[in-house]
Amino acid sequence: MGKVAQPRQRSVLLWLAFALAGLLGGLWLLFSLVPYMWIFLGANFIFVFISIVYLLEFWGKKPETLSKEFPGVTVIVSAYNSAPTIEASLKAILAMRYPKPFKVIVVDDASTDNTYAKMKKFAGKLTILRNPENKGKAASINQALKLVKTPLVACIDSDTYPECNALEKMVPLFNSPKVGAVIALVCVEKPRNFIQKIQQIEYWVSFGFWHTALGKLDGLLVTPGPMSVYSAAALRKVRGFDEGNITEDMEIALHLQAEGFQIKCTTAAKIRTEVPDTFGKLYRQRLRWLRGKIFNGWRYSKMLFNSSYGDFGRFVYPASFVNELLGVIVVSRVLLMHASNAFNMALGAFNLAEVNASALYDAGIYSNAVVNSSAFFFVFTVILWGYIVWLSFRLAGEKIHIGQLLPITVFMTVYSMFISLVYFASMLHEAVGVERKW
Amino acid sequence: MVKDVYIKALGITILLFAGNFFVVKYLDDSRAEALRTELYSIQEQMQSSRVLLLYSQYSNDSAALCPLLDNQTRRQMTDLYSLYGELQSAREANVFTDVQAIQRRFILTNAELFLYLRQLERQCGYSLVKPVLYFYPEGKDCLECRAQARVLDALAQDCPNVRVFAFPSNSDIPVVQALAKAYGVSRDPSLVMNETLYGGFSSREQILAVTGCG
Repeated sequence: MGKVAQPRQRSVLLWLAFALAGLLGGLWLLFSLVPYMWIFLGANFIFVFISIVYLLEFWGKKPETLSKEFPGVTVIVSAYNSAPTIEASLKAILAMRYPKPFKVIVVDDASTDNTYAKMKKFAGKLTILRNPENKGKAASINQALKLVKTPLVACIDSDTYPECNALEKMVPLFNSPKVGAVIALVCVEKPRNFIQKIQQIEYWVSFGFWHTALGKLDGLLVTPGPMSVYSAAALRKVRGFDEGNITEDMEIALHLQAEGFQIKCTTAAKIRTEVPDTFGKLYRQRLRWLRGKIFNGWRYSKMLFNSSYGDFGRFVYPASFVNELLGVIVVSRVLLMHASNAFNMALGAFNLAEVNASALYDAGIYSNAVVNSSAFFFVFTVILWGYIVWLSFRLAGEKIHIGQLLPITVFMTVYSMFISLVYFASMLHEAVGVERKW
Repeated sequence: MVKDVYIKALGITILLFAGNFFVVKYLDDSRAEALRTELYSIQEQMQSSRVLLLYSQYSNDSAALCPLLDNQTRRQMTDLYSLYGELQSAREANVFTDVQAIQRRFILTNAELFLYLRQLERQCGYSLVKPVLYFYPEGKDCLECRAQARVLDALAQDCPNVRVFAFPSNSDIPVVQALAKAYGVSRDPSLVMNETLYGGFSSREQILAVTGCG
C-alpha cells in the first residue's frame, strides 16, 4: 500500500505546484515575447561584460600588502558524525605550521557514530567539547567562540585537510583592522569518480579565479565553510554565526560585508575537503547552497544596488543574482526547445501523431548541421570561459592534462546547465517555503 | 560615481559584440549574394529554354528541339533543387541578412519551372519527370513537414524521375495561391502527385507507389 500524503505535505505540494506554474508561466511569457536569439545574445552580452569586469580587476590590481605580524589563532572544528574523516582532519590541523602555538577546540555535536572516541585520541593536544544534543554547526562554533581569547579564529570543517602552510599564508592578509575574514583556495580531496573530478575543476574555478577577482573588488559573498580565518572582534561584532541558517558561511560573509568589514582571498593557501560522490548528494548540497543564496540575498537585500556598500553593493552582489537568473532563463529556453521536439517524437512513437518517431528523428531535429551565423557571437564566450578555466588551473598550481579534458568540457557545458536547474529548483523551494534542512 | 573598470569593461564588451556583428553581417551578406547570383544564372538559363520552346512552337520542329530542351531543363531542375537546399540553410543560418526576397523570387522561379515543364510535356508529347508538389507552412515549425521534407529530399536523390516542387501553403504569391486553391490544399504538409491531393505526412512507400522510381 502506498503512503498517503499528510495534510502538511499536501499543502506543500499544492504550493509547489502553484509556484511551478507561476515560474513556468513567467518564463513562457518571456519566451513568447522575446525571440530566443535575443535571449541568448542578451545573456551572452551580460556574461561577457561581467567576466571582463572581473578579468580587468584580476589583471589590474597590485598584490596585497602583507602584515608581518602573526597574532594568536584559535582553531575551531565542529564535527557531526565525522568518524571517517575526523582523525585525518585533526592530524592535518595539528600539523599546520605557525610561528606561535595555536589552540584547537573541537566540538562534537552529539554524533551518533564514534566521532567522539576518535577525537579523544588527540586529548591533550586539543580542547574537546561535547554537545548533549545536536545543535548544528553554527551553534557549535558559537559555543566554542566563547572560549576564544586570541585575535584570530580559524573555523575548519571536520572533513577538511588544510595544507601545512595554510595559516602562515592566510594570516598575513589581516593587514588592517577592517579585514574581517581571510579565505583560501578550497580544493577537492582526492577525486575518485567523475562527479568529484568535475567538482575539482569547479572548485579551482570558483575558489581560484572568481574568488580572487571578487576579493579584489571587495566583493566576496562567502567565507567557505571548509576553512576560513576570522577576526575574533569582527565575529563578536556580528554576534557570531546565525544558528538558524543552512548556509551560515554565506550569511556571515554577507553580515561582515554589511558591517563594513573586508574579506580577503589568497590562493597561496590550499585547503582540501571532501565533496559529494554521488549525483543525489551533490544535488542536495547545491540545493541547500542556492536556497541559502536566495534567502540570505533577501535578508541582505538592502545592499543590492546600494553604492554605500562600494563595489559589493553596486556591482558584485546584483551581478551574482543577474548571472544566476540568466542561467535559469537560458537553460529553460534550451530545454523547452528540446522538450517540445522530444514530446512530438514521443507522440509519433505512440502513433498519436501521423508521422512515426523514426521519420522525425531522421528529420534532423537533433542533428542540424547548419552553422548558424549567431554561433560567431558565442565563439568569444567559449574562449573567455576557457581562458578563465586555464587561469584557475594556474592559480591552483595545476597543469591541464589530457584526462581532464572531458571533465572540463562537461563542467563548461552540461554541469553549468545542471547548476542552473538546481537554482530553478531552489527558487521553487523558497517560493513555496519548503522547510530548510542541512 | 561609476568606476573606470565598469566603463572599460562595457567598452570592451560593446567592441567585441560590434566586431562580431560585422563578421556575422559579412558572412550573411556573402551567403545571400552567392544565392542571388546562382538564382539569376538559373533564371537566365530558363529564359533561354522558354525562348527555345517558343521557337519550337513557331517552327513546328519538336523532333529536333525536344532533346535539346530536355537537356537544358534537366540541368535547370538540378540547379534549382540544389539552390532550394542552400536557401533553406541560409534561412536557418542567417541572422542579419534576410533572404526572404531571394526566397520569394525562388518560389516564383520554381512555379515557373513547374508550368514550363507542363508546357514542354504538351509540346514534346512525353513527361520528363514525375512532379511532386509539396505544400508546407512558411514561418511555422511543423515537425511533420520537417520529416516530410527529409523523405522527399532522399527520394529526389534516389529517383531521378521524381522532381519535388516545394511551395509555402500560406504564401501570398498569386500563382502559389492559385495552385493551392486548384488542388484544394487545406492542411500541412500536403503533396500533389498525379493531379491528386494527399493531405498529411506521406511515407516514402506511399509516394513511391504513385511515382515509381526510375
